[in-house]
Amino acid sequence: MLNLVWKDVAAARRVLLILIPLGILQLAVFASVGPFILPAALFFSAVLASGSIALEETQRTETLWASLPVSRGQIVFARYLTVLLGILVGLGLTCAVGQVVGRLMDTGLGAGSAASAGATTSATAMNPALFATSTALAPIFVVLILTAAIYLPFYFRWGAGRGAVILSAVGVGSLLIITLLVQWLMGENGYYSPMLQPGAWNTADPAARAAFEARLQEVVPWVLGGSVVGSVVLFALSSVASWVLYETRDL
Amino acid sequence: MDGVENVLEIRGLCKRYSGFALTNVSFSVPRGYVMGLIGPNGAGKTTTLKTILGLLQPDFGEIRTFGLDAALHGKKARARIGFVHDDPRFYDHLSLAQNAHIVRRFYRTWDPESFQRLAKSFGLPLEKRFGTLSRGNKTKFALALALSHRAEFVIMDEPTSGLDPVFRRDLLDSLTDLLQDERTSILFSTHITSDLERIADYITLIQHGRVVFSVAKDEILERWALVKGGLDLLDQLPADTFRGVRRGEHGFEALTDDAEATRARLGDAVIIDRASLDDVVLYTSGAASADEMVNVGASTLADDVGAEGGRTDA
Repeated sequence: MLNLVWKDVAAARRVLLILIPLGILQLAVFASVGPFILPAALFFSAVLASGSIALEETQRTETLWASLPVSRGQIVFARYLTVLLGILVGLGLTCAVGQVVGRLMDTGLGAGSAASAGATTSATAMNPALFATSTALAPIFVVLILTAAIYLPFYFRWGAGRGAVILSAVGVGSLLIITLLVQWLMGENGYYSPMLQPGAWNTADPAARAAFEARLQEVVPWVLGGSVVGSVVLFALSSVASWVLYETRDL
Repeated sequence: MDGVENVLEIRGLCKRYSGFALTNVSFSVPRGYVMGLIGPNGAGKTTTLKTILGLLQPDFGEIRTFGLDAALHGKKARARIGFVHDDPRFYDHLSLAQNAHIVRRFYRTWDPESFQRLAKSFGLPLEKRFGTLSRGNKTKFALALALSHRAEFVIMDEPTSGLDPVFRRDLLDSLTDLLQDERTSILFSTHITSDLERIADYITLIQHGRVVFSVAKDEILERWALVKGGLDLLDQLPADTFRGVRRGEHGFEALTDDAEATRARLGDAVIIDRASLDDVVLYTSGAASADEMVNVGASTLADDVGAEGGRTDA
């Protein structure tokens, strides 16, 4: 199975030699504006994670691999491993770049840029090292892993193109459902609904807002931790579903 | 083929798509021989080969490669199979050497010297990118890979299709060389039947998803024949006398699967010629009977029959 992961890396070697330095440069540039490192990390990790699928699609080598002495299960699990590897490398590099740029800002090298931006927030608050921590990157990891967990079974059943269409539909639908669910839960627990009472939060009692935010601070680590574990479990279950779907697929 | 070790046995294979069905396909490939799989486009050749490789899932039937159930031991069987798809696909942006380096890791029996030797004999530019190769060189590269892991069974889907005659001859020569070891078996699908007349030992004909016959090539060339005669004679014969008939203005041309019996029955009233595999495909597919017999002019046919001393009233 590792041969299948290796062939993805070997085939993309030239692209990676360009993509990774460019990605690091992009992360470093965005890191100088603190939180902007997060969308850059999301984009960079997504590209690394989906690169092997894109390569497979453009080269149309699916029947080649399936004709080799490997099982369909190995093909599926290798793809999941490659995607996971892409996400972890992307986030790992984000972490490293964030820490390095953060240190440089701490030593004063970044102070000029923060001041020139006319930021009212202090350079420390904008420090990318804060955003390049495991806590800050966890939501990105969850989003990417969940996206892959949803997309890959469709990919293995119907191919990349149709899989992407279905993923978009599922993604939009899921966001809508989650939004409505969160609003309903907030309403049930006596909080304002941002959608039904959009101005309410601005005029809310500062004490109530502070209480809500304090509660949020308590809950966030648990929600994040649970999301990471949950998404990994879903990713594993998704790989089994993909295996079942791919095992009987005609190529 | 009884008593001979078979590298492939297919029994009752069925596969249904919308608009096409492979029905009850059965044949076997003995070790050390070349089996030609022939039939018109869309007959079911590629479907059969893909099912053997496990790329398609059969609805019914059994496939055994090297005596192993392909459904359970596909991975093990594929380690001993070399394949050449009709449109070979590798990484376009990588060189042949890089592509080979990726593929070799999947085979424990990979023989680098053999690959180098084959690449050299095929004239493959190993430093060139796969995407820049001609169709013929792509096929040759796929064949070199297929043979470099000491495959005992090589499956080729239309490998000569789209190749110029020189390439085709080179490829067939390479296959002939390969067969010298009497250990490697080849299943070779094509609609260019003249290729098989050179190298095949057995022929399986598939029409409309069904096997018409699967026999030794020599048996076909000995038993099957083209029969030419006059229309009045044809009209007197039962409809099932021939496997396929083309009617002309003044004569007919037909295919028989028993040349001896036809000769004994019709004697000098007809001319009996050797049938090529192309003739067999043409007549058994029904394409011949649906065709007008444009090229078989009355005078030509009459002259032929007359020259043989037969009836000249055609």
